[in-house]
Amino acid sequence: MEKQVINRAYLETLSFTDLLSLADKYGIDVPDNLNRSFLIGDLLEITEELKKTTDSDMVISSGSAAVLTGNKLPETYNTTDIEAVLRNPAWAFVYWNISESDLHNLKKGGFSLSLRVCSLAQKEDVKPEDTYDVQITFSDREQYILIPSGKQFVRVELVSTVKNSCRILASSNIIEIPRCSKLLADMQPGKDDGMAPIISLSGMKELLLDHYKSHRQSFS
Amino acid sequence: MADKNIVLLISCSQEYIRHTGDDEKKHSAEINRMFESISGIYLPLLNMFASLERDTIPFRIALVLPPVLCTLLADPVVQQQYINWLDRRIDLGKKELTRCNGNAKLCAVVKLGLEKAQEDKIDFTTAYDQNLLKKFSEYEKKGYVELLATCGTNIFLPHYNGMEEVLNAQVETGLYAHRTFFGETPNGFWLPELGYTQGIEKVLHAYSINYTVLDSRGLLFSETEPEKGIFAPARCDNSVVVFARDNEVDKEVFGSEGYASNEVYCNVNRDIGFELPLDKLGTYIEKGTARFASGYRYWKKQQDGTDEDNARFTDPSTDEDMYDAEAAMKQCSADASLFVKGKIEKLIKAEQLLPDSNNVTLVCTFSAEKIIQNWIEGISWIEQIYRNGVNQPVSFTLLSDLLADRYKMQRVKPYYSANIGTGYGETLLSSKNSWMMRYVRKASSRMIDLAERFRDDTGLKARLLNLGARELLMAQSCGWAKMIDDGISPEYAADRFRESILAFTAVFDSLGSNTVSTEWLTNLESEHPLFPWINYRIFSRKH
Repeated sequence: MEKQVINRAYLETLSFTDLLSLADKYGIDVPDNLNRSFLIGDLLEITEELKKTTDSDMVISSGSAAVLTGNKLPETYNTTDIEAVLRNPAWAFVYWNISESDLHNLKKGGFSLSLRVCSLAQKEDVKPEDTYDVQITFSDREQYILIPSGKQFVRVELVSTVKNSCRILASSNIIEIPRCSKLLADMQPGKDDGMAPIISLSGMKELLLDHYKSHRQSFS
Repeated sequence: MADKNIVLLISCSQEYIRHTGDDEKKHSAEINRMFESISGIYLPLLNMFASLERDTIPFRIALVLPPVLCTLLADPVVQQQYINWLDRRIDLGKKELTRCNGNAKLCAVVKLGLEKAQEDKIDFTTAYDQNLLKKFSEYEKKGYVELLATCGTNIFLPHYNGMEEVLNAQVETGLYAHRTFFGETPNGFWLPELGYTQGIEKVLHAYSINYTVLDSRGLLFSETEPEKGIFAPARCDNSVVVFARDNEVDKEVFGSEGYASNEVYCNVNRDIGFELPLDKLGTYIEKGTARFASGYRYWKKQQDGTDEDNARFTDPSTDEDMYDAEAAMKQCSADASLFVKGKIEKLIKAEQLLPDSNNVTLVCTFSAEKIIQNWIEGISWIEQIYRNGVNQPVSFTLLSDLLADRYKMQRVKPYYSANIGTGYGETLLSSKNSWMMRYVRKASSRMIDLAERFRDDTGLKARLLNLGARELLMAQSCGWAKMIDDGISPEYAADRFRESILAFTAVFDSLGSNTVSTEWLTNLESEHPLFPWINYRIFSRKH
């Protein structure tokens, strides 16, 4: 890696164009009438300033760091993990990564993969109240998951299975399902008994209808 | 008798879209959205304030001017680009007058567009001295305007539930920016896309925020039924006050039968920028770049013709087709009158149902983005609301004026809600944009870790970390996901998201390898002069 020392002697060797380009690199705004000596002065000042704030243990490289990381987002971070995000109160979005070595071993061992959706009575619970599995393939990386109705906490596990044995590869964060009003929980089209007039005037009926149209298969 | 109040609130949003040099032309369609907003929202709003003040019409309005928008409005480079953009519009208008010569009625409509561009230039450069933020701030000081703070970028907070450091960082950045631009500590806070999930009130409380606004689902679907519906604010357990917006407003204004759909209004989609052959647009739109609106729109919003009619652009040839600004303004007044009347009727019903209340209030929120996309007369309509409200049994008030009985308000636990998707923000996590989530959340957790590990670092490391924090804040904006889902410059949005994540990754790798390219760092710092005062420690865990 190239490490360039900037001092007056070096700057004096540069052409005015090179000095301008260096000034540009350091973000110096060069007025039209700035002469060479002033420009060198400004450059020395800024590099001196930089030295003061530069960590002695940090290596300065040339070129663009972006080039070093490439222009594409990584396919994987080479970890095995799983995360869950609430998409709405009925659905969660789950995504996961499987490290290269885990993937190699799973394929070699003839394992199959699934997501285990675990409902928990309390956030701290380790043992789920209830579970259901969603089969996934090795190429899958994300999935929308229907949250079991009436549950308050959900965790999703990435599970590998072979014959009768299964292993939890990763567990997601726990997501808390928001508790809703009785009117929403017992929602049925046309049913508005028990709705206070002020709630109705607030637009509740329209909201419930919208909700029913969009989520009747998932909210219940 | 209870006081009847209407709160009008306009929320603006803006992604950090700033390009210079060759990139300015390349991304003119994306940059155009910002300039359209200046001409379509910010200048008309300031003109409206001046007009109402001059006529001593009582008005109060709440505004959300997000940090990214303020940064761009305050940026001299962007200001000059806007002036150049107006010049190009003016040139195009002159060309259009020549092209349409011979059709007097059409020329009159062209002149409207031309005069609007000319007036915008005078307003921007002379009347407001290129400093719109200063004018908004002045109206706030006069008590007409209430400015709500919002997050650093347009983040959908519920997607980061459980990452408290991210919520803190976004709120803290938003508040710091607000103080920087307006010199005031805000009282209220706007949640981007009204995204609420349980716990956000704790973050707001930690930063001394007194109130926020929710989609009406937030209050009405709450486990505890709100005793006063949406007609009064309630408070969370920690006494952060929550107002529910009147969700009906969206339908009333932008629904298929809404005010904005009246056929007399201008058809924003039939803009010559989209329809005329390129050779007739001069240099306004470069060959090979995406088309964008020019501001020259000659058609009314009547029923769309057949596909055959729309296949080729023709100038409106009859009065039935042609936009009539005078008729549109008359309709604005009539529609505003209807709107006010409807709201008063609703408030009177609420008053009768709540006999013990001193106040009944409706919070009507409008998205500036929707106005720009659908209704160029939108701000004129809002002005007419105030004018029609004179001598009516209703007051236009500010949210902060309704906090007096804060500690007597009902306590509620608001429900998960948003004003996008089907009420929960689903379109921000759809099959088109869900791929973004893994990257932005990974970068977020890495940033939290870095802020902890490099807690006391200075110099180059601090510069790197600040850059990483800024790029992450930009990547966290759900505006990119929204653009992708809506099909508005989706490739550009995806590229910008990728660039920010890659820049963050480069920072992460640089710190990991203890190597930095100062050239790259300096270039990126100057390319994105957003939040120059940022301190990466905003992502630190609060112990």
